[in-house]
Amino acid sequence: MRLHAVTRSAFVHGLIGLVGPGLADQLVSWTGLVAPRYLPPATTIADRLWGLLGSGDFLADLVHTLASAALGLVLAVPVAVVAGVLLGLFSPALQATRVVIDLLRPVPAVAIVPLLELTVGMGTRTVVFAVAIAIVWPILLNTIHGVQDVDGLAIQTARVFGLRWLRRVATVVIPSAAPAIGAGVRIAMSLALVVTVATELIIGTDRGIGSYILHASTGGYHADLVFAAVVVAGLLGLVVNTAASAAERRLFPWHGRRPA
Amino acid sequence: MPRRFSQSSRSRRLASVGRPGRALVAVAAVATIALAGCGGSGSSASGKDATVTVDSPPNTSSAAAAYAASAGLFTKAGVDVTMHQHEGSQSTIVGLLSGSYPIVWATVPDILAAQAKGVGIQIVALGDEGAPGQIEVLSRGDSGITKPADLVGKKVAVPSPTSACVLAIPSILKQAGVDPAKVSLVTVPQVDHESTLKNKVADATCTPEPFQTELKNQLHPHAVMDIFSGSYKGMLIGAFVTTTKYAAAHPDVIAGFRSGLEQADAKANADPQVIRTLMPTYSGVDADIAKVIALPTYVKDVTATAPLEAVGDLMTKTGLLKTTPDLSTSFAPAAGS
Amino acid sequence: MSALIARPALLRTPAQPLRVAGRLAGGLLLRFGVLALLVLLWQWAAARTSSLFFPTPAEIVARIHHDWFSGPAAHLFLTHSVATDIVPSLGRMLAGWILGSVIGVAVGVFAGESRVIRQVVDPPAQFLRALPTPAIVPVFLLLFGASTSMRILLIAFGCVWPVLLNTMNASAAVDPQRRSSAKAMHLGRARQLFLVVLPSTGPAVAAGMRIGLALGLILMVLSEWVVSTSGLGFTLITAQQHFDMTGMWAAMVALAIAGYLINTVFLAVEKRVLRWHEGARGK
Repeated sequence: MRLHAVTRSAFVHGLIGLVGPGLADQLVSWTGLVAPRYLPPATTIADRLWGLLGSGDFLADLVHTLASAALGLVLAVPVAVVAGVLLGLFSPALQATRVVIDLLRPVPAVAIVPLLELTVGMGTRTVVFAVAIAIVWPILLNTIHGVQDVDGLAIQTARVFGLRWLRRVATVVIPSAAPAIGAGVRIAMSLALVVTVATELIIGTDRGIGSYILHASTGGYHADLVFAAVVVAGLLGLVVNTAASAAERRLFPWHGRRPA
Repeated sequence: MPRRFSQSSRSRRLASVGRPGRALVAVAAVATIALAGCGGSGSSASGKDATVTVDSPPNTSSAAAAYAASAGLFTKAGVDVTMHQHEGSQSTIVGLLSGSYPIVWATVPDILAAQAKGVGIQIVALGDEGAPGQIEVLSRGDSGITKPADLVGKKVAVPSPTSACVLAIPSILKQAGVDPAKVSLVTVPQVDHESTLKNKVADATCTPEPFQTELKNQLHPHAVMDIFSGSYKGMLIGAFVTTTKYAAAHPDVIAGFRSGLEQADAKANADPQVIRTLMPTYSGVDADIAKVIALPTYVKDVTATAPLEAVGDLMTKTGLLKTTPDLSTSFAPAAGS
Repeated sequence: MSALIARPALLRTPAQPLRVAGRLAGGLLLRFGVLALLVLLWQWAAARTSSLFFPTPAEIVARIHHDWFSGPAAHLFLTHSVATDIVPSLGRMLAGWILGSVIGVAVGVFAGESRVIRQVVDPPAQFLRALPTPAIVPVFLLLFGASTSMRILLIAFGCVWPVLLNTMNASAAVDPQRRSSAKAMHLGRARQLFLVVLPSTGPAVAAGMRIGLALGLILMVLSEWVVSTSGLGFTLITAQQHFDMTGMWAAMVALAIAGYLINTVFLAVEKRVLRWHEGARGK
């Protein structure tokens, strides 16, 4: 009962908070800072948004974006976790690759997209690869930290019990590092969505929210549809992140409050 | 605090470690298969009946090809052509080089720049030429900018660094006695030209259709200069290109495309209404806007070298190309040669 | 580390310097060996296939030297482009990042005080953070024109969210006992903040700022794709549009190195500052 009361008040407060950006947008239109033709007021956007959510085409695009982001996650998570566990356990390996990681990490995914297009193509595959490349880093780094933080005594005890290396990793290291890995995956999930839509926008794929946004702007001015789709992308990110946080709390209840 | 063994909860969790691992492998396998499936290339096996997908921004330049495709002119000439709408900010040539599409439309400056860099592409057919009034440099009605000399120290928004605007504006300025270096040309996506002009982010715009007509309707601007006037009347705008490899392997497709396009060009020049009727479905522009947008002149001879040389010269003069290009291999070889 | 232990031994016998040098060299080899290996591999592969889109590292380095390091000795060999492109771009990025981080910490600390405020602030923060950046660049362009302040504000907009969310959550997690003891000691609001809240949230804030740094670089590049005449991002996109592949790679490498340097400096500063805060926390 108590939990329900908490989540209900959180929901209400959240809705109040969401009004904030909407109000700002409405004010911008009312004061004429930007003409409604180019940046529609929140009321118009809300109206178009309602229409979009009922449109089969848009929903198909939405599912496509979610699927692309998910595929990127599926590609990146195993690679990053395995690499992270290995690097976290073998510090010489980490020292050897640290420089390479620190050099590759800051390169923005947007800068790599032109290269990816040339080598992989102009479609969804490039989007998925761009997403995977972008989200590998938070998962990798969080995994490394999580593994490094594992209680050495627990590993030693497992060794004393005669567990082989692989079993030690599977039964001691990974469960102990799991909360940190979980946090990394949660960060990766919201990042995946943002990178998916952004890449779709840059490349001009055939399907996806980004493709819908482009399509709405090529034939003429449909700023209302464009921004309604942009708002959907934002709400999607909010929903995904909230769900991921809730899942994380459920899976790792002992971990306490974590940063975003 | 050290995590001491809490046997019960830990052993419960230990039992489940194996299952997620297996599930992960299964998902990864499915993903790999799914990825292999999507994002296929634009044309199937090489054969006379294969569909050739042409990637092009849905603009007036490529509308003649769209007309040829919809009116069956390509089919009559022996090729099956589908137009694909290109919308991202990346150049179509990237899609050509990655093997996604066998033929793409690109602006002539883009093509010559790529060929100068040694990129293996060849022109299948020239597209269109600028007609007077097709693109004008427009300024706000209240800005006081009415002639080229007023642009000194101002910003002009252009759709891309290799657009016709970038070629023509410096030359027209020089002819008017203005130093082109004093006018800055900035890239703004054509979708945003109207809003950037209205909000004074740029002082003038050089905008292709249909955004130019919409801008004129909304903002009632001054026309400062006409891009395709005087010595630039008839300057080439766009062309259809393919890779050298594809051209060598499919001379029949090249020949069919050229033939179909020439017929469409002739029809479109004689009766522009066919293009205006097509534009709403081709590009999503509103029908009333389509009625009044400025249309280009479609090329009569799709393999003429002279117009290409003219653009090459201009690019060398404005510094976009370092040396005058050698155009002997610019065009894909004709069938039977 | 081993060099530190070896130092006293250095004073003892003449054979030690060689061992120390060996250890240092070994350390360097370990750290940069993999990188050197990858670069050599790239050089070999690119030279063999001579692909247009993958120039050899040698060509890229030559281009970087030509574009940015072939200037007069009086200017530290830096060319004019460094002053017109690289410095302003990175300067804007740092300014936006700092602005975003400051606002993020301020709002985050404030929001962390009360659960209700947190519940109100969290969803719009998550929402605004999830907006696709290529779609909001035009909005910033319209609101603030094509000026330096527009680009700084855009970068700040991107950097504020990770810092805000991290600070907010960490501030909420501050041990309530500490808070109440601080209140019991009648510490003023400001002292409570500096002695209790900020030190506890330090690591989380630093983590958020690091994410913000990565975002800042992305936004810096994106913000220079539109209405721009100079900058590192502008150089990157212009090279790509002119099919100047070597130039494109040179810009990407420059971005990577700049990001690496800034990150390294930030990590060093973070370690110092957090160590000080550990002291204040009484750990």
